[in-house]
Amino acid sequence: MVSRDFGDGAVGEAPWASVFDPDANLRAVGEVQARGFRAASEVVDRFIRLAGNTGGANAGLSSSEPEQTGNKQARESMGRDVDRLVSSWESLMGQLVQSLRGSPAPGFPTLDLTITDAHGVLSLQAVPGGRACSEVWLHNGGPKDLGEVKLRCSDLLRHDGGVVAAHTVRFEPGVVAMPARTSRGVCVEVDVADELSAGVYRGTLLAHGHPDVWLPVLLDVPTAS
Amino acid sequence: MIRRSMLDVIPDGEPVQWLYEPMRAYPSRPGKSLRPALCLSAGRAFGANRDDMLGVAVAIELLHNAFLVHDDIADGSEMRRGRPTLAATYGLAAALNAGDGLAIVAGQALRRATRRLDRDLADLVWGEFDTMAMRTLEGQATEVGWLLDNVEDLRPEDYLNLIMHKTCWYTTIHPLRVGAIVGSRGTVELGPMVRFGFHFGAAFQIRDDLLNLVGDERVYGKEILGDLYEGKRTLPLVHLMATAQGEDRALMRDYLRLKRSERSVELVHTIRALMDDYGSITFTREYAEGILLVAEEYFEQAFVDAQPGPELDFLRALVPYVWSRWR
Repeated sequence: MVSRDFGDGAVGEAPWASVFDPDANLRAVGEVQARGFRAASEVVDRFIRLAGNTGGANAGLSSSEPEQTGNKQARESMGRDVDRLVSSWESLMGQLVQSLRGSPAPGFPTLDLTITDAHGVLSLQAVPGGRACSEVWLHNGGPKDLGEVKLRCSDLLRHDGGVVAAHTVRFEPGVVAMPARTSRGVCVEVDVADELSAGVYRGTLLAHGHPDVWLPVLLDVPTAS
Repeated sequence: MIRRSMLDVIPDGEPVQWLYEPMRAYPSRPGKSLRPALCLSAGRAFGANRDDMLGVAVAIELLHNAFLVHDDIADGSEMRRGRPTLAATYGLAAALNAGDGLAIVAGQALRRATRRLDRDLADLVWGEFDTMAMRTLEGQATEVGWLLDNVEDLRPEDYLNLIMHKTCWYTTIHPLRVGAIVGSRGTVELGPMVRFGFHFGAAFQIRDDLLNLVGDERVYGKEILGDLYEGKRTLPLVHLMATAQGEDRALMRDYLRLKRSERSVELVHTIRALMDDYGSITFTREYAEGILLVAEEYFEQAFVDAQPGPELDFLRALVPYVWSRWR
C-alpha cells in the first residue's frame, strides 16, 4: 500500500483537500481490490458448483475431480475446499483492512443469515445527478449451504413524501451464493436523479427468504453546490 | 529444452515452404514458456520423473502455439514475439494450415508421452487435455461473439469469466493440474489447483493487458496498443465502456463498431487517453491486485502435499514475480 505524507499540513485546508485525503484514497483502493477478489472467487465458485451439478465433460474438470465422482468422500473434499476459501477470505480481509486503516475492522453494515441478526445502517450519499454506493456484508456462519440469496430494498422515503423508487437501487452482484461458513460483500448502488430534492431518504433492506433479517437504509442527498 | 523438443516433433519434408516452415516459425521464437514450466515443476513437485513430464509439457506448448497462430488470424494481429505474424508473412491460408498442423502435432506428442503412463492415468491426462482445449475454444467463441454482436454492456466480472475460459484454463490451471495428476499418480486433490491457477493466471493476464497499453514494444514483443486497434475487450476497455459519459460514451460506441482497419492512430490514442481520464488503468491495477492478494494463500493449499525442493520454490516465487513487475 502506498502512504503519502503531505508534510506541512496546509493541504488539509484547501477546498480540494478531500482528493488528497490519504485515508479516503486508501479506502477507495481497498474497495476496488475487494471487488476484484470477490469477482474472482465467484468465478471459481461457479465452476466448482457447475461441476457439482452437471458432472461429465460439461463440468470442465477431469474424471479425477471430486465433483464428478459424486461419492461422499468427494463431497467432503469439496467442503474442505470451501472451508479453505473461507479461511483465506478471512485472512485476506483481515490483512486488507489492517493494511488500509491500521486499526481494527470498521463496522460495515452486516446481515447475519444464520442468527437472523443485523448490525449497522446502510448509509449512502450522493448529490443530485450522482451515484451513491456502499457495501453491505452477508454472513453465513453455519454449516449449511444457504443457497443463493437476493437482496431487496424498499422505496426510500423523505419526511415530506419525496420518494426514491426501489427499482433505482441496484445490487452488485444481484444474487449471492452463500455456502456454509462464508461471508460475502454486496455493493448497493443508487442513481440519484438530477431533479431529486435534497434531504434524507430512508428505507429498509431485506434478504429474500430470510424474513427476520433487515437493515435500515439511509440515503443522504446534500444540496448540490 | 522445450523449444528444441517442440521442433523435434514437427515433421520435416515437403511441403516445406507452405507448411512445415511456417509451423516451425512460432516455436522457434523466444517465448516465456510459462505453461511447460508450470507443468514440469508441478509434476516434479508431486514426484514425477522428468521424462514422464517432458512430452506432456511439450504437447501443451505446441497446442499453445497453434492457438497463437489462429488467434493472430482472428484478431488481425501484425506482430507476435517481436516479429511479423504468420498470416502477415505467409498469408491467411498457409497460416491456418500451420495452426491446424501444430494442433495435430500436439496430439501426437501427447500420445507418445502418455504411452509411458498407466492406462487409467493416461486417460485422465487425455481428459484434461480435451477439457482444456474446449474451455479455450469456448472463451475464444465468447469473445468473438462480443465483437460481432457489438456487446457494450460488459462488466469487469464478465471479463473475468471470459479469461477463466480463454486464458487461465490452458495457461495456468491445466498445466498445474496435469503436472499434479502425473506426479501424484492421480491422487492429488485438484480443486485448490483451480483456485490458485485462476487467481495467479488472471492477474498474469491482466498484467499482460496493461503492458499492451503502457509497455515498450521492444520488450513486450507485440505491438503496443494492438489490443485497442483490435477493439479487444480487455479489463481497462471494459471499465472505460462502463464509465464513459456523454460525448466520450458516444465516441466509445463509434470506436467499438469500427473494424480494425477503420480505427485511426488518432482515434486509438484518444481512447487510450480516455482510459487515463476515467481512471481505467488505475482501476485495472487495483482490481487485479485484489485477485492476486490471495494467490499465495491458495498456493500453499494447492501444494500442501508436494515435496519441498527447487520446483516448489520456483512455483512459490511466481506470485512475488508478478507482484514485482506490477507497477
